[in-house]
Amino acid sequence: MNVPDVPTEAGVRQALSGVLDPEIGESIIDLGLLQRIEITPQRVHVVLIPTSATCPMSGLLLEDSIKAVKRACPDGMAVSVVLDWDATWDPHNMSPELQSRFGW
Amino acid sequence: MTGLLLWRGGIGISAALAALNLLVGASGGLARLGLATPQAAIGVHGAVMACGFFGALIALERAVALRRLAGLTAPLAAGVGGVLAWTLPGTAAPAQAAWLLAAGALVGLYIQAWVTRAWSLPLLVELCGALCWGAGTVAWAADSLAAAVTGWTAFLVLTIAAERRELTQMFRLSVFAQRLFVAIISVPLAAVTLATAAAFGADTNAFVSGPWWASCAVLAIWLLRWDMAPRQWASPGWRGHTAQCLSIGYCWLLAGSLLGLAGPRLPGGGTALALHAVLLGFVVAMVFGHAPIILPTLTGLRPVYSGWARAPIWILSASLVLRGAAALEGSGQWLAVAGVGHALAIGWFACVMFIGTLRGRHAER
Repeated sequence: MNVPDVPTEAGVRQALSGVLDPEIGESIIDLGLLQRIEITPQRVHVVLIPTSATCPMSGLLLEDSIKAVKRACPDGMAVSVVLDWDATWDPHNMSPELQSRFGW
Repeated sequence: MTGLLLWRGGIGISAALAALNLLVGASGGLARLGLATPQAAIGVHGAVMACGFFGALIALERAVALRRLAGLTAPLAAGVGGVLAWTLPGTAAPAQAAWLLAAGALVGLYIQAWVTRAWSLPLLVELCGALCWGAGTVAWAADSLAAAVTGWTAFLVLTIAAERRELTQMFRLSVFAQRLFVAIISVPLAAVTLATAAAFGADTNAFVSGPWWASCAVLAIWLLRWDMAPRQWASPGWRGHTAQCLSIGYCWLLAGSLLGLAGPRLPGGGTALALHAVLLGFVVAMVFGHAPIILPTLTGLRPVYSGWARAPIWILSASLVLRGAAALEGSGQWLAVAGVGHALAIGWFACVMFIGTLRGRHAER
């Protein structure tokens, strides 16, 4: 796969769309867990929104997200993914298609 | 570096203590059914399973989720309490003290999550569950085993109910479903309060059993109707495995609750049968279902899916049906066979997870 020198936000988002919530089986992008992506020439920083204060799977989600973003970045580029515990997840963050499937 | 070593060591020791308590506690249960297994925990089988195994497992999951070294006090104390319970058969006080510490530390973890992360209804329910663990242990210290069992079972049921309610926030629930959940959850809390009061002499025991089992029955129906697991029954891989284990577990919660309601009228008394339907059929099913998700969090290793993982929940269910029939018929021989079925299901699942984890490790290299 060709990786650009500096990844685009769309590219990072595309990479994250392949990360699934292990229990729900839906993409974290469709679930609305992505808060923001910050890209500089040296680093990609991703902030996710947690859905639960005691979710034991948050570590797995972070690990999967880092792996996915690294695949979309050139070798050696720093990648960090964190959870923003002050942010509140809302069902309306979900993609319209998923909202429709989940009855919203 | 030292902190990381302590963290990993604490997780490893907690998991090892939980596994040891599972082995010793389960073999004590099998000995009760007449099998020639080690009897160290024969007198404290329920306490070791509820607090030393399930309690340690839940507390470990929470401590890892919150990533606080001090939080490992909860699973370590729960695991040590289990070991104290079966190594010191003459006195329960050290185990009771350890489990009180564990329940208190778990309450502390939930309060920390509340303060530093976010408050939610499921978090409050989990916190109440941890308080029930403490109440059950206090009741046991007051020599009321019945109240202790109510408290410990409520701890497990409320914790699972809260976890599942958290996931249903993804779906649009009717106001009726939301209010019904709150109403259901308030009944076990009242039942545990009344049972604990009865343990200290209050005349409240008559109000415990019926509402408690009725609330469990309605909770099972709630989960079957609104939880996502039954909708994911046909999913492939681990997701389908989890969905099937959980859905079958909800059926066992319902069956156990109905047995509990009918208990006194059943030949030989149905309370023990009801409890095993809930604790084995429902709670162990939850362990089977969540293991592929939780194991990577605890070990960093992801088990590779195998279709063999789907068999244990059916073996467990068949052995529970056999146990029920044997108990109603008063057949000790078939009770022992049912016990072998329980052990086979748990052992089979442990092997599948172990082999799957080895394969996962190999694949990652």
